[in-house]
Amino acid sequence: MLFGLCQIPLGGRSVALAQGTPYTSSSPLRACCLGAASEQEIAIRDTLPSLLSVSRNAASIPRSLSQSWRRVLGQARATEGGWRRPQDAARINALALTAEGEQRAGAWFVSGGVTYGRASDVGVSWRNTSDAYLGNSFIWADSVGGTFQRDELALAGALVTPSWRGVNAGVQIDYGLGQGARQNDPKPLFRRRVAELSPAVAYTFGRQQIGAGVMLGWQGEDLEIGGGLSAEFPLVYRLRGLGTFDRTQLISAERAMIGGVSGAHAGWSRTGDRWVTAIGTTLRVERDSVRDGIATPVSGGATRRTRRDGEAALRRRSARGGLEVAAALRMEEARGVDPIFRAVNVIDEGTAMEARLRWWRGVDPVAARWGAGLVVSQSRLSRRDIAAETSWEAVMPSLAATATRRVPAPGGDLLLGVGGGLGWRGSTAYSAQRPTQLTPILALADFGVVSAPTRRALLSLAWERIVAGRVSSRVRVDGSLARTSGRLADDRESLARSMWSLSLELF
Amino acid sequence: MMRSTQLRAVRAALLSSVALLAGLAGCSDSSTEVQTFPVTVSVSYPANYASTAAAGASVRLTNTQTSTVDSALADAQGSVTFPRVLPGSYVISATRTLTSSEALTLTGQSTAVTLNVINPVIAFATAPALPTALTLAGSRLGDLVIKEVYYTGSLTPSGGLYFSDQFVEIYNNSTDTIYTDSLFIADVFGASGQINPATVPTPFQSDAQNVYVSSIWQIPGSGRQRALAPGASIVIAQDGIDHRGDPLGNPSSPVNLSTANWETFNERPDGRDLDAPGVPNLTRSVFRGGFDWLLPVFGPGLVIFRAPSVAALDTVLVPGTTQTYRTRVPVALVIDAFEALQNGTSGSFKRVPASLDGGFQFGSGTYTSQSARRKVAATIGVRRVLQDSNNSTNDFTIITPPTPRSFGSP
Repeated sequence: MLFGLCQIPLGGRSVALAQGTPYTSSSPLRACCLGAASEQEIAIRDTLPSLLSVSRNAASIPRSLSQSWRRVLGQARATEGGWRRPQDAARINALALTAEGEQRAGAWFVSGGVTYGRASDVGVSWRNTSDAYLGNSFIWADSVGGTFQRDELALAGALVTPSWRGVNAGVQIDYGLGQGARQNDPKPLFRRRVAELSPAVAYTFGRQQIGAGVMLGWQGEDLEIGGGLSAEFPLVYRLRGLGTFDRTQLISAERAMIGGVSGAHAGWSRTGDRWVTAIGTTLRVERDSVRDGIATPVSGGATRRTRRDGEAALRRRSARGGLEVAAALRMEEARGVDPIFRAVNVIDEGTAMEARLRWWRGVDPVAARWGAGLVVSQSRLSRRDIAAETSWEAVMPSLAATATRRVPAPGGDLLLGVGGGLGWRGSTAYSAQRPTQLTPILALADFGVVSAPTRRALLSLAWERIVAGRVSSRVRVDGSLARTSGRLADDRESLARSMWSLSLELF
Repeated sequence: MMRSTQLRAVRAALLSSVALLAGLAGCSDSSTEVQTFPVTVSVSYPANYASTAAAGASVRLTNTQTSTVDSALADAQGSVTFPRVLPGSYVISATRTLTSSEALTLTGQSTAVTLNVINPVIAFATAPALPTALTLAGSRLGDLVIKEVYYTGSLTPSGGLYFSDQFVEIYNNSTDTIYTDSLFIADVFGASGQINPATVPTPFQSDAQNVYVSSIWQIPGSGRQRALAPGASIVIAQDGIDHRGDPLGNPSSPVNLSTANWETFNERPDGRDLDAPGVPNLTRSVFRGGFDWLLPVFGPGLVIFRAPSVAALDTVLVPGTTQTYRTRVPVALVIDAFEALQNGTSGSFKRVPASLDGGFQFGSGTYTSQSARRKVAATIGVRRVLQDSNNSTNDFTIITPPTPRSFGSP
């Protein structure tokens, strides 16, 4: 899987969630992505186009925020439906608690957040790991499937130094921890940890700012399976691509995935009275290495992923309203070195382009009485398994539109957001010249989901009121429904997937 | 000045961004991609078949790690090329089912048979330089047959009767080596025809499930000592001497049996049967004859068979007698049979059940130096395949002189 949505805990945002991708967020570590589409319309804070928004330059935080903020959020979320990638859960019930904020501390600037999530993934099959679509093609599975219970914790913090001759230095630290286990034999267990450090500098001269930074990270996942206490000894599969696999019967076994992250970013921004502009580019390289066994570790595969991002945003603002135009481009490539062939067997490539237009009537998008957005995007994703001689490609253009309205209500405001989207099947191709028994289950079914034309509807309703002093509360309900059009490429009937969430915020 | 600084900064930022993306464009992984390569498998028929190339053989390439199977049919040259084989360990197997007509063409035996071969695990890391050669193997087609029976005897120069030069030749008519250890040969009880007015047919004619034999001889051996290659034969002589040159022989005899494989030496206290020193002796299992194993010169019945032991066979009283016994051999144990009778009108004297031999041969008379030799049905390579329809009338022809261990023209 190339476009893992929000692979970075807190704050990551993928341009690739182009409307053709189903709600695959099974991990609270990725929960930010799931809500992003709706939160973007009913936000509690405004983020100006800046080095932070286009390249995650932490040193730019003081310039990107108009005011300090903090909030506490509790959210319950349920996702369900057949339009899902084959290794995602059929139903996800999740609870999340978040506390986060950003504020000035004298001449310094700090931000941070913590999220605790608990989730139940029902109907998971063909994966015994936290997530099959994070980009590593070498994963464990068995043919049993079942329900995973998971607990996850995400921490994020940033610190920005006072300006010295126009130069700010900042550092962003992200840490995520998640662990879970399936409730039925052989009870596969995983523990995933990610950590990332992103130091950066920004130089401000007049209305302009340039900046650059690097990112260094570590990510790993420990896996266990204990068939020894099982009533049966299921076959354990080592999936190695789009159908390539080997399998064995195990009493117990352990596996570890160890990976590293490195990258760099650079950007430029200009903040004028009426125009705010930002351009940024990012390179991110991730390497994962899988090891099986303990006493005699053997290779379980290695993956190298390279992601290049470019983003530009332009905002025109005034006291009466504003307009923001943004464009983003992402190019990704992943190559998986097979442990048996000792050569690259899995090759994923993809590009995603997105153009966004936002309009609002009011001082800023958060307080706007009216708001509207339009997103046009196109993604191309291709996957190839050399050994299985299986490959597919899907080019999926999409269009999404949203509208928000803020109206006075007893004790505060009522916020309403509606949206809809269409995803088309551009050009697609699928070929399986050396299919295995898993090819139709994992490759063809995934292609069917990803290449399906879709229709989406989005609804958000929030009641916001001041509860004490400067503290406001917001009760919010979000719902979305996606449905495919016609038969899928794997000949399944039209499928749907829905998401509903109820959240309570204090800010 | 300030504006110039700003421009330089912007330029530097843009250049660094472009350099970042451009430089990173070359960061693709240099690891080699999985390479597939062709593997050619050459499938051959067993060595004694008429053709080498096993055209139409189904070849399977099974990956031992993934259990994935590729299969294809061999072309006219018996060759299969799998064009895109992944590195790994494989078991290569092939199978070819021959119809009876195909088997007849290839082996001379019209019996449907399935041939198989499975190769030990082979690890392919790169394309092999040579094709993987497989040779099919299968059930043996054909069996031992009685190739020639010289039973008529010969006349001496002075007109005397000479019958010590009788021989029986047993031939490997199959596609594989056969071990003749423990093989039994026996003469079938009963008269060959209306030799005198009182002669009657065997009283066992009504028993189609058994054949009743008089004397039984056995080839000694532990089981794998007496290999007989396809197309090869053994000669069993009554006396293993050069009958033409030996002082005890007959200068008019048509055969030299000093190179026979076996001799039926009937050791007696009176020494009436001489033991030829150069020819090993068969084991005398049961003997109910005179001083030697004399086949009826009017026409014998013969069977070759396998049994756990002679003791396992029943000995039965000949009906109408009080002390004459014969050994009963179930037809299921019999490998081949031959029957000759006195003349063409002696059919009512048949001794061998029709299930073993549906006909009989006869010579022009006794002491005529004639033998009955099985016909050649086909020649596969250098191997002759003898006709075997279980009918001596059709399968044999009368020749003179006899041709021990050869197919020379009479």
